[in-house]
Amino acid sequence: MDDRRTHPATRGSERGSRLRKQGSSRVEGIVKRLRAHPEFSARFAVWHREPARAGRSADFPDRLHPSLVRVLRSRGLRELYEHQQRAIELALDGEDVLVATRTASGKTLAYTAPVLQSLLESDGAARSLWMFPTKALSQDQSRSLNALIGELSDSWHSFTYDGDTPPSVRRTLRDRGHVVLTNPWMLHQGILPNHAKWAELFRDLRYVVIDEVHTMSGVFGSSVANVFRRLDRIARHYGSRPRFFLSSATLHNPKEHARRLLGREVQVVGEDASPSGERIFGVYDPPVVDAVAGLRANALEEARRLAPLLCGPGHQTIFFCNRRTAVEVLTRYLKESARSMGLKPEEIRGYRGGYLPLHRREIEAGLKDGSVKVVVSTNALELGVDIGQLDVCVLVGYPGSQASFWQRAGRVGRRGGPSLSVLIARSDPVDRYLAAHPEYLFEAPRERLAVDPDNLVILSEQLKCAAFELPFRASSEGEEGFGGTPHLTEVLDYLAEECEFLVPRSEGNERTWYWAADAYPAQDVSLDGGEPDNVLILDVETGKAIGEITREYSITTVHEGAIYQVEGETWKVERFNYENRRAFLRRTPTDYFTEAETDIEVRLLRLEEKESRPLASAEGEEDIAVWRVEVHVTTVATLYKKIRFYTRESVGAEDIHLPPEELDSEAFVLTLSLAASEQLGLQAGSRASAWRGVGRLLRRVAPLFLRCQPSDLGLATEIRSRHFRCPAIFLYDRVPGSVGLGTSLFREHRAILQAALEVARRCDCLLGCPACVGPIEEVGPLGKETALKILEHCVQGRELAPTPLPELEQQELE
Amino acid sequence: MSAGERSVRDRLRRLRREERASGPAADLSLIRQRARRASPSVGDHGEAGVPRELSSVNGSRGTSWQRLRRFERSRKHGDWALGELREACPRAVARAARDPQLEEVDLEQAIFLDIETTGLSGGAGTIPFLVGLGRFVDGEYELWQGFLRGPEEEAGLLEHAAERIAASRVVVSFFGKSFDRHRLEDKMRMHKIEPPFDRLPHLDLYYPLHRLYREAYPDGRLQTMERALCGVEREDDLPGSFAPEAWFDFLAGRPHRLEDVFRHNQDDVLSLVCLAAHLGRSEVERTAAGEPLAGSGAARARGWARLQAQARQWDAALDWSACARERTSGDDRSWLCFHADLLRRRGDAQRALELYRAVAQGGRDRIALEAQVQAAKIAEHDLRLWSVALESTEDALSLVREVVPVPREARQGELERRLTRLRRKCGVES
Repeated sequence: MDDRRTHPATRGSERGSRLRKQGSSRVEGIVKRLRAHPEFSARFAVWHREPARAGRSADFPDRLHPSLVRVLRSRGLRELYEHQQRAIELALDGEDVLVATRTASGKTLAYTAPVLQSLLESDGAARSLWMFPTKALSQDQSRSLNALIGELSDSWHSFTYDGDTPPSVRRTLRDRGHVVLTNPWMLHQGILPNHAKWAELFRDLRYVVIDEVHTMSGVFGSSVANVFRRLDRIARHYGSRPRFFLSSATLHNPKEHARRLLGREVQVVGEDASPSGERIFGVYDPPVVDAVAGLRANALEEARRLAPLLCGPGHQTIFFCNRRTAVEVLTRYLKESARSMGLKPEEIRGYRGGYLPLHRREIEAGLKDGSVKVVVSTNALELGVDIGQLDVCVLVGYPGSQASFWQRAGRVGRRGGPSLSVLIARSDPVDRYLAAHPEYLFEAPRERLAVDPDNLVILSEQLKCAAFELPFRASSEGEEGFGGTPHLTEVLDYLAEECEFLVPRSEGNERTWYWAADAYPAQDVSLDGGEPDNVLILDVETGKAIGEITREYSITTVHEGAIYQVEGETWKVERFNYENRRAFLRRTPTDYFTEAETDIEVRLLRLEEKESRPLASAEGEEDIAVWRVEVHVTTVATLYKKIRFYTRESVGAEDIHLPPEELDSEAFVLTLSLAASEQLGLQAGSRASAWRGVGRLLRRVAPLFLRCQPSDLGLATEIRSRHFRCPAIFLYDRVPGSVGLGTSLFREHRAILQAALEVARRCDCLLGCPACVGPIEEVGPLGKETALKILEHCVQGRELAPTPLPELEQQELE
Repeated sequence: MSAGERSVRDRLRRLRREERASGPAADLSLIRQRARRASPSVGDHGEAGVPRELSSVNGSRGTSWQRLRRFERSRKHGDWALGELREACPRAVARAARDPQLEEVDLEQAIFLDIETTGLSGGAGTIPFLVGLGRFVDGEYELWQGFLRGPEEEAGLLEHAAERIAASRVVVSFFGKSFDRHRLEDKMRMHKIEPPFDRLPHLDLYYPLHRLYREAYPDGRLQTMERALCGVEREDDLPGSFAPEAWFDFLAGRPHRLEDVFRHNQDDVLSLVCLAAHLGRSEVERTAAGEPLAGSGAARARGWARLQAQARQWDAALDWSACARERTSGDDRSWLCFHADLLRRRGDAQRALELYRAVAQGGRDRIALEAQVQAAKIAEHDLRLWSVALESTEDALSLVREVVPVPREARQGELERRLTRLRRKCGVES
């Protein structure tokens, strides 16, 4: 449970608590030394202190069952925090609840209490289903929950149901599990398609608990939203109406996120009343090593240099890296210099996915009892696994989202003393932005989570699974629909008539669609997208797989002749069988790598929304406009260049012959009217690269305001668009059918433009670099200057206002 | 149609890439489905329309359809008459099935169960479209085949099936404990019909027949067993894997091969009777008329020897084991070890020791190693023949070095400890 603060029994050992006291006083010392350091002090762009906060406590609700209160009290829990009390009250009122507070604020207790209450009130008849994003989390939770349940009754049980559950105990678990802990994948592929075996669970399902819902966005979130629609349908079939209890990190607009995910109105509890010690944040900006190109020192290398000040025998430090290889490299560096930090090499550990479970448990235990002083981890230690609270957290690069940032920073902070988090900024626009605007991190979350359960591809796949589970009746589904999706009957008809997965039958006046195929659809439907269509990368000599890549990326990375790199080794693609999705590679040492060029053609299918403003200097003329549109994108890989390592000199180019990639999706478009571009001098041909630089920068900073990776967005820039007849930047959602990134971009365009301007303006480079508009080779000598002018123009002046859509002629669209 | 008003269907087609010639379709199961549909063996023969001989029955859960056929007790299926089931010995059946409940039941009151489904994967969407249930009633064998003319009739069919099963005293199936039962049970729960299986003993013929005959035949499938044990030869049998397509063809109004599926199911249900009759005579190894039983006698004798050994009936096990040795040409040394173990367990340590040592003389291999280890144990603990034990242990140690790949420390250490102990007992200096 993450209720460490409230459960003294689960705190660390004697040794751990001694460290706890020492650690706090050490933190002040570390900060003092950093601020006094002749070199590093100036590199800390900012220091931010969040004062210690006293907790606000509240009594147990009166209606909470006396046995439950007794058990909680016996575990040292005298009272609740206000937010826990409010959440419990709401749940007991029968509301759907979302608790969105920080790590270690006691969310687990908030949903454990109502669940146990339902067991007590129903004399053990009530069932509940808990979902966690990882196996490790559910196993952790299961242990502590069982201890609690065991004190209430001998005959109640909670079980973890995941891929590791042996078939021999599955039956017991299905029939006797009062609380079943699982994950969305098992629900999707194991439980729902076999719901009859789980009849005991569904007949009296009172609560569905979903932990860490902030991880559910994009394709995964949109798929999971449909899995919940299926869950709801099955529960209704067995006559139960479960209440949902969600928990998450703090979120931008949590109510809306829950609505998209569940199709329900939830009550949000967002005011964190748990106490916390003082939190000190520092943002470290590595020194510039190449003034012209604006290149900064490598963040990993800087982490190594800072380590002697951040690590020591009297406290615990956690480093977060964004890649597994970085974890290994940094762990090795630190072990090598352990003595100089007063540590033994075995007190420094690496931690990442791919380590064996026992190995991981051992490291976790070492962190809890204080014998491990330094751990270097990927995001594997980001989500809930109990390792106790540490003292110093170092983020080697921004993790890509505010939620991740806070989960990582939440790993440090003991009561009664300060904790320190240091973010080492990389040469990346987002990191550059944060170095200048650390307040972004401390204000309310800004990222929008894109979830679109009605994405037609995802919806149709999920409807196959749903129809397998229960037939669809036109009338009775009508009441609740399938989460109210507008396309239900059309998709069902499509699946029946064109795919023959379903047979429609008429019973009286009622139409019903039945599953009628020799298949188990959930097996072929992934929640994260892409998988069935991936290209397998094979060693031509051994036939063994060395990697996998999405079909979409395959045309630019594993075309014949491409150099594919794995951990520093070069492989040459000998053969690419596009139809069978297999690429055959041979290990070939080369002194060059390859870069493919693509032609992207964006065709407008439909205009959805527009905002614009008139040109200040010439009334009646349009200035800039933003659009939300549906597009068809055709990507053709045209040729690839061989580029020598280090010197980057081009040593030849060859054609690529592969079919084009086609995509229907939603896009955000920025247009600059001809009059405006004339004013900005954006006509001459060479300026096109500056326009492209603007597009690239927008794509890179967008993740500040919507939860995605830059690679989730496709980019096409046109200096004279066929459709708009002026310069246009298209940023489109790369998920077929889109999951709503285009809409989020449209809503947040002003903040994104502003952030892009800030980054370009503050960047130390002279003429463009990878951390802003792109290097000079790409944007040209005037690129940065022009891009800055464009961004300034966009950000200054009036806000855009909704504008009626123009009538588009058919031939314009086609 | 204008681009703005493209239908959901058009968008789906494009998004799911089903129309693109260049790339693979996104939907793997669709590819498989189409490949099956294109298979030439389905759909060419067959007729359209509803299968013959169907009559309707009304129930509280709607109308369902059935085909009822009656067979005389004298009706032959392979070499067996259906009525011969009466001569099956319940104790033999119970012993072979290792289920004492079956001793108490009369197989004449059994329900013989076999179903055809739309797939083998299980899960809520797999439909049992043909349920075959056979039983003896009024001196005849009655075969009831409940059939779905559409998925909407499922509840009605299952209601009748549940009633018929519940009215019996025991369920007889082939692999039904793993498949048929669960398909029906899941579906009954979905339709809120009480599944009847928990209260009934279940004789799943797969397991006892597998125990008795696994050495003799390449697989344990129903059709292998019925041919070998009951002389059943099927003509133009439609493999079970084509059943789903036949029903889907029927639903879609295409020509279908459902008649073949009905026949296949009928053959299955009749074979259950004959296989149960065979099993019930397998201990006496003769039919009621005194004819010798078909099937491999050597395998059967070994099977019974193992079964009796598991039941700790050492005398019976030894008789069967001796019988198995007679029926096998040439001595199977690992079987001799099994035989020696039975001798020892019955208290005949001397003969056990002799047999083990004889086996050990027969080769330099792992069997010899095991034989010497056992010989040493008997000599040391049962017969207190230290020198014999010492000799066997020494040989075992050299065998370990010859036949056990490294790491063999555990094996070796254990023997060395024995060796030291025995040398002490023999008064030999180590």
